[in-house]
Amino acid sequence: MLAMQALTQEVTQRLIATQMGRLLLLHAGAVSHPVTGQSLVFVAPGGTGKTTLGCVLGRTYGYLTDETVGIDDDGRIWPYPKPLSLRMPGGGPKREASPDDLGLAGAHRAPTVKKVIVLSRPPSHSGPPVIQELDTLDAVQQMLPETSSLGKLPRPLATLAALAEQGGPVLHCSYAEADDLVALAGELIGTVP
Amino acid sequence: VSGEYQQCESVDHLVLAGGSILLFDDHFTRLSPLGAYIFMRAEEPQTIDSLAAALTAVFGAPTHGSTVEATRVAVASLVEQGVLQKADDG
Repeated sequence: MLAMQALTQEVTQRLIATQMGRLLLLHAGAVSHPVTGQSLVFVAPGGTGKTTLGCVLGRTYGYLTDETVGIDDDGRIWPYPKPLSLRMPGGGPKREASPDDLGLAGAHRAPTVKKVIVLSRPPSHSGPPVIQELDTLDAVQQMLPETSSLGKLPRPLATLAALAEQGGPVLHCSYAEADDLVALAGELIGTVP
Repeated sequence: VSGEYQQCESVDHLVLAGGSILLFDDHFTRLSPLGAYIFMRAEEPQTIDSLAAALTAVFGAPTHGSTVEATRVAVASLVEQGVLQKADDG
């Protein structure tokens, strides 16, 4: 299983290397509405619950990735539905699970960015999610640490600012449990009948 | 803090209402409007006195202390952040 995880990481690194300077690359998860393709991108550092959220939202929305979101100049997301690395109860090595085995929905054929949220999951947080709108400068500042090879793009900061302004303000979301974000996803990219 | 100061080489600069963000090869930093103005002026080497005069013209004099001293403090902070460098360091 460690070999599988290493293989997944190797593929991810090669994907990032291939797309440097071509796509805006964010450490993020994403899901798409199965009918409209409108997608929710959740930007977060490691350990903030991208994989868990991808599992929860991916049962309803198309699973695009749980780790690296690549976005082109037109706001189209290039899906990377990699295996998900799941923490095992009681600790130990993570388990690699395919999106199909987890029952996740397939990606829309042309997913586009509808909304970006920046996630944080402080240990002290309890209760419902706390949502805050970010102005463009705050959004760029919070997304910058979660970019890969941003400087390789022709206009790196303008590209990030354009993403921040796409679909209204970026939201900062402090939350405790992934299930608490299902309703929010419905509000942001639409519910699925 | 003495002599002339100029911009460190940056990858990109985003200027919006309320401030700006500078991207470097290995880090980024957010600047206040005042910091962004100093950075812009320092495209060419600037002395503390020349920066102080320019800042006074745009932002007015500080409410406390001298403009030159306030400029010296601001420049020292920008040097520490890797935004400015001594002109002869470049």
